[in-house]
Amino acid sequence: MALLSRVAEQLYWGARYIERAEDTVRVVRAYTDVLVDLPTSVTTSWEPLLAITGTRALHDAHHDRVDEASVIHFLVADDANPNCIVHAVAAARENLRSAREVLPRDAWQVVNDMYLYVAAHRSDGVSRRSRSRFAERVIADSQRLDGILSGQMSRDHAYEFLRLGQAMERADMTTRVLGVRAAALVESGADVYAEVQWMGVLRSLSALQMYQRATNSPINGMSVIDFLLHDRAFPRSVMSCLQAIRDGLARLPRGDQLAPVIAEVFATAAQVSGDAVDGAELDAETDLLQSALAGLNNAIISTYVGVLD
Amino acid sequence: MTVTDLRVNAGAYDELLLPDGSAREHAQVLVNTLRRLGVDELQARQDHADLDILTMGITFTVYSDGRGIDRAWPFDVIPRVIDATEWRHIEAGLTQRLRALNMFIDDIYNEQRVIVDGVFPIELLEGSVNFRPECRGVRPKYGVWAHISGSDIVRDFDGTVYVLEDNLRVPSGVSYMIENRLISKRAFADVFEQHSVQPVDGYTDELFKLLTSLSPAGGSSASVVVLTPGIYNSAYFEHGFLAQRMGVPLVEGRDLFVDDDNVVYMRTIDGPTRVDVIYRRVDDMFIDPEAFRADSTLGVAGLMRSWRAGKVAIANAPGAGVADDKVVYAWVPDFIRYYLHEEPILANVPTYRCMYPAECQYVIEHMAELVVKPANESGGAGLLIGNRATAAEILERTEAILADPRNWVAQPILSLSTAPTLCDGAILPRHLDLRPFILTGATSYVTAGGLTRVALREGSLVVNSSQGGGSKDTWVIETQPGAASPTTAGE
Amino acid sequence: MLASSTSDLLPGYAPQQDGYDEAVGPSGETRPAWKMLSRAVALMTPADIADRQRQADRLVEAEGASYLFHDEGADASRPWRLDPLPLVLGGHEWAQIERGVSQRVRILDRMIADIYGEQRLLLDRVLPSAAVFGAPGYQLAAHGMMPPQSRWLAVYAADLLRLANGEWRVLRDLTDAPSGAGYALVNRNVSAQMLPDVVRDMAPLSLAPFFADMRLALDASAPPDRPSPRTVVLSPGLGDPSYFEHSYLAAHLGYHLVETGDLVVRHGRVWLRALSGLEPIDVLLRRVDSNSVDPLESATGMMGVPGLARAARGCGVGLANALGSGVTASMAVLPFVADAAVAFGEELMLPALTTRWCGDPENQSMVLAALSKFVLHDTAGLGVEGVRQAPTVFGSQLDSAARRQWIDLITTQPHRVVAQDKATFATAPVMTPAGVRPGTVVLRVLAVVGRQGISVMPGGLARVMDPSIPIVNQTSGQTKDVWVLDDRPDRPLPMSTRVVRSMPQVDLRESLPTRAAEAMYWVGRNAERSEALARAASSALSIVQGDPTLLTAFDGGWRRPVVAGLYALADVASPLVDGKSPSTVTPDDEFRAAIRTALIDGSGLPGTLRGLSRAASSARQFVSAMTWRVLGELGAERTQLGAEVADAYDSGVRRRLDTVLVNLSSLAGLFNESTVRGPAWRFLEIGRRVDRALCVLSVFDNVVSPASPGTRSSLFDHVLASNESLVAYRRRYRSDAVLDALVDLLIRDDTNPRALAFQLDQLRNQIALLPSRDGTQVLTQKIEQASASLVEVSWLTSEADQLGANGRREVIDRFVRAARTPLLEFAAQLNLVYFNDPTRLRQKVGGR
Repeated sequence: MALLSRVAEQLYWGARYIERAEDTVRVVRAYTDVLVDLPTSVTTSWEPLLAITGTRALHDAHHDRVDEASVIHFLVADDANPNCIVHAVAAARENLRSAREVLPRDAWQVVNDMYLYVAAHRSDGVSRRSRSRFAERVIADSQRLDGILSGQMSRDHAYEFLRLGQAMERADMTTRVLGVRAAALVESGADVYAEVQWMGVLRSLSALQMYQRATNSPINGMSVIDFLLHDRAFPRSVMSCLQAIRDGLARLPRGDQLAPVIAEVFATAAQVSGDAVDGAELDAETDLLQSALAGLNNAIISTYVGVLD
Repeated sequence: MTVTDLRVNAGAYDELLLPDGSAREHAQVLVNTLRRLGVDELQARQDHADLDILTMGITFTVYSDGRGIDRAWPFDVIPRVIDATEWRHIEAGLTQRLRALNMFIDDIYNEQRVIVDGVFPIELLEGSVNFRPECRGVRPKYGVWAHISGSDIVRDFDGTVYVLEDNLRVPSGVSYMIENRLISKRAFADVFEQHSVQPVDGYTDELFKLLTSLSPAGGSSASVVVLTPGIYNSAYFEHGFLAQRMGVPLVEGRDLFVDDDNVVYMRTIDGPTRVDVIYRRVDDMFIDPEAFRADSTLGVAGLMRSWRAGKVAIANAPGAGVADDKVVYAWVPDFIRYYLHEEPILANVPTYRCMYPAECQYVIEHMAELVVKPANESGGAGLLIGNRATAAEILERTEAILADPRNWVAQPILSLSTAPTLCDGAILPRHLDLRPFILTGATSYVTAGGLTRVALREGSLVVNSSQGGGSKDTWVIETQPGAASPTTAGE
Repeated sequence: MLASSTSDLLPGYAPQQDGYDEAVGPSGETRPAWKMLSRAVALMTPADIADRQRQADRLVEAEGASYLFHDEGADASRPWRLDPLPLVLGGHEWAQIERGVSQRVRILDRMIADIYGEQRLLLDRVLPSAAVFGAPGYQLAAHGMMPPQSRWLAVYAADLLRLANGEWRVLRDLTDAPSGAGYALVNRNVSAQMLPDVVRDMAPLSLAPFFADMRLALDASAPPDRPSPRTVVLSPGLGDPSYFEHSYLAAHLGYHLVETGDLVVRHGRVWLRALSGLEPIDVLLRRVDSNSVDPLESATGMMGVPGLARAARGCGVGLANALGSGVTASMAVLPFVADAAVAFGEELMLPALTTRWCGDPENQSMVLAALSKFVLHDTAGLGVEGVRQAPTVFGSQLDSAARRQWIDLITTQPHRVVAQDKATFATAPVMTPAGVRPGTVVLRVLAVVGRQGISVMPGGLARVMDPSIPIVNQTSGQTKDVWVLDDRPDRPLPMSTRVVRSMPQVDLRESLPTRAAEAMYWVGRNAERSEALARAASSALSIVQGDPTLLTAFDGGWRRPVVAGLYALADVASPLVDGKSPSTVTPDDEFRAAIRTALIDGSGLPGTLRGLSRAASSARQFVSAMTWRVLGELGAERTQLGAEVADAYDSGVRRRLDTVLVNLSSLAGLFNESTVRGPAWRFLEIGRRVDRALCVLSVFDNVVSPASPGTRSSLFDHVLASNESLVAYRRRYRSDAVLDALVDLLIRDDTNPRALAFQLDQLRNQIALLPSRDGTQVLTQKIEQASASLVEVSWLTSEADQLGANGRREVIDRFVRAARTPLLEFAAQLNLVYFNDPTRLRQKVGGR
């Protein structure tokens, strides 16, 4: 069945928003965990969370303090923040809602469920005690959706666009985390609590366990960065995401037109590496990667959606 | 309270119960179950059903200040039951009725024999808001214009079944009929097992067969689409539902365009793709800014061009609404006799047409005993129920009628039949109607039962969900052993 | 007992007067370390408290801790419960414990070295030989053994009790294979989620550095010549009560979890049976006791790895702890540690409870004189012959018969018995339904020994004890997290931060133990089979509920295939006698029975879900934490299904099935999601695909082939619903119930994740990526053969749709045979090529 350009776009963004919600929740949870592990003597700042989600400016426009309360509320439930978890889920629902007829019925139910939950429990996401419960639920629902899609949905074009959106968002988030947390940590060098902090970086991408499987050793900055960038076996690494995008496009009509753009992103990603001695360098490299990804995003949209009124 | 005292309103006809409160034969099993379960258990199942509806996203949208607000579909767990034998009778009546109506529409837009032969007054046509001159001379396949229709059926206190109106434009509700079944299957898993209920979800297959058969190209592989006004339309859920069940694209006006070759295309990721059949859920006036309202953003410029050129089929055909008109309604029995040379199987409600001074006189004098409705307008708006109206309302309505008699008709007040309904913690008799759906093409198909709509407020006769009405699952039940047809019950 | 003045901060909390309480001082003042916590608790309503306990239970469950026990069906008791209130210890006090424990480790290590070496302590009568040689942990095989860096203890634990005067005493030393580190870790994870604010404000010392030290300590246990040692955790297996901890710890440290059957000794070294063949192992974190390590050299044990002891002696492998270290765990040795310390010229900082060894005549007569004053231990740990009773008893609680038995034992084999004075031990606040109440706590402290020295876990595992039962006998029960508040600037840093460690890059992703590979395979198969069962049953139910006449219509033409199909999925022989129902059962009962088999009996869904959990726990290191939460929920559903669902038509059934299916979906998502695409994942994938392929075929065999004209559309609907393909079918072919369409969607269509062709493609891809072995190419052949069967149904004419003489469709039958045989051979071959283990009797990890 021919896939409408409009629907394709809605699927793509729907998937991106779901993934955004999940990733944000993971980052927030991991960051909170790290704080719990650190003694009070270590001063901690909540700014990284804003930087990762690229919402520092927006946040400051609405809040005069950057503390846990303001940041978490801002990332979870602040109507001023279009990327906050509650809004991301709502946006996903709005998009998928008018693409519903190409989704397995259960898939729509999960999204709807998820929306009802976050809408009703926004405060749980903010309060520190219920935060992990809230996070768990959001992640579980997102996984549920993933399972339903992979288990029930024909590998048709609609499916490809969902996966495309998911992979793009993941690549994006992993890059951001690298750019901000990793860069900062490389800067601060190896202090006593570096391991705990790096753990946080890995956890925020649900990569801790997989990293430990991959390298049987205490956590080390360089190898973490390499793992998150280049490990082709780990589904959330930048490289696997790009691979997924390339394969997906290959299965879509006129995908070849995008080959050059993809190739460029690969090239950019290859240049970023764990050997980046100082954080600033790493930060700069990830910035390049960010813009390359943005370019790819635009290329995909203009190829398949063109200009709708 | 316990359910043992199921009430019946004095003088009303109850679908499940005899006046003495005992069960009608075909409702035996259900009523026993209600008694066994008790109201608390029923309430529990109602709550669970409501939860299902919420999580399954079964909604209808109320359009207000630019945003569509989703309301959960109002559903009453206690089903409405119809005896299969009686149903076969109604089925026959509806099929007959639609055949006649379609012949009328086809006739009106072509030879107009019905007028020439003086069966139908020409002035009605001239005054009709639903008559579309743009459709003159078009001959849709099989001579069918109203492919999908939903006729509203009611039962009077004496048990007589009347057709209240024929919805020939974009009748909605069929998806809720199917969803209601899924819900009540869950809520009543154990009851279902003792009944032999005729399945309802064959509808979408039938609908698709019908639509494909309309393709101008012919053949079995037509490209069919459902055209929706968009997510803010109150029936959007249904549009998506039907598209998904039929496995066809759900398109909005902006997804389609008509090229110089008069062919309709949709924008897809592989580029433009031809469209053969459009099941449109957009009103006539909005489907084509070129032909009708230029300000419409819902339609497709050039659609009428394409249709007249026979490049695309549209269901229901533009202009089909001409026969969906509370005035034309009064003539339907005549059409049946005129076109089919048969006697009507289903009764028409006696209708007074204010366009005729004599009848108008009668209406104005007896307004207290009548229901006065505008000849056009869907939904319960503008409905005046004589015995409930204040003097002021009656006066106001009288003026309205005199101002534009043609736009008004009146009918005797039917006391709609009732059925036991769960109203927060109590089981009370509530008025209801029934909307079966009829598919007409080369052949005809009628849903087993249909959408039962119930007025949730005591004594109220208004059943539209947009005005606080509820709905029930409708079971057509085989009481004659052996007559059951074991067809699938779907998912 | 009299209540003292109640706590100033904890209203209603009244510790016993004659004892010591951790939180409240004699005059009711809250001890400094407890102030912050007490304030937090004081604010909680009973409802809050109940809520915290529920949350704790939920989280513990979510860690996957409890399901193994849930598994045993009968008693669904948790392995432990976590009291939301931690045990808080001030920095100064902790420093003492830390020093005391470190010293004990040093001394015990020297004692063990001496016992198996020069035996000076024995010669100088510091240690009575009867006590030593009678100790259950004593290993003849250990004599002359030279552990790396001559260090016997890598891991050590002690159970501590606090006396009324506030001093800590050692109840016992655990020197053989001490447990508790994993539990402590879980407890901390849980309490951190449960009381985040309090944790943040009070900032108990993090446990993370300790586990880094543990890795170092284990590295240090490796034979000298191993630059980047490989460590595995050696567990007795699923049967062991603390199996959960083994798998949890292994997963956390990033080590493989193995059982003795997975190891072999060749050329004096220890090897792990792995996917890529035998992989060398340098260190065993030993969680099997010394007697079960090596059947060749242990006195009692029949289990273990033949030759392991020799390998250890020859420095081919490092054991943590070294073989025989258990000797000092004996209660009979306990009282002599102090003397040994003196002999080494030290004063014991952390002494043991007063313990009298009856091997000494003085003690013997004293104990015999006043039996009821003591707690008696039979150090042989066997319990007194004849009477079945615990090895430890209160002398005061003995009936005359038991009393006689003990007196007899003490007189005839005095060296086996020790007696400890009864005492009242310190209490700490415990959350109970009735509110916060005092409870006796025993504190387990853990330490590891590395090259750079000894590191004590800042915290540990506290257990709430029932004073009316000898503590030694109490295994599980309620536990507490232990918080150490240490703000001393001079606090010693964990060694992991003191050393720069060379970074071995042993890539565990490519290394996959045979057992884990097989476990993952069964995770996949059980997950898939569970889904198939749930979907088929719920579809059958809903169809019958839609039209009950189907049960009898066409004299069972619909019912029998569906019933047969359900039995086939459950791998249970159908009661149908060559397709006919026995005349004795009513159609309705026949149907109900089938549903019950598929959903309620162990043969059906509960069985496959159980297999799923068990298999997953055998490969925990490959399963992400989130996955455990989902497995936990499935575990709960399973017990429900088994227990509560009496009747197939119970409207609860369908709802349960929905939950199960939803969770299985999450599982599928997680498998795609956070699993590294390594061999482990590949075997999981293979398992899923094999099972799904077999299920589809089974449906065609039982349901599609016999579908007669009348029943056909409802049977096809059932088939589609069971494969979650109704919508997909409707989307593609509107004409209902066309055989060719059905086959196209569920067999030929390689884009439909439910279709046979899709499964075969996946299998082909996965096999191609497996390390090649003799017989790998056979696997590929089998897949090709199965694919070849598709020709049989390449396109089906209306003739193909006709029923044959036997009332079945020959084409379908031919096809099913052609496809199933190679698939079954594939599965068998897979076992042969990749899971084969000569020492182990073949047993399915899946338990199916």
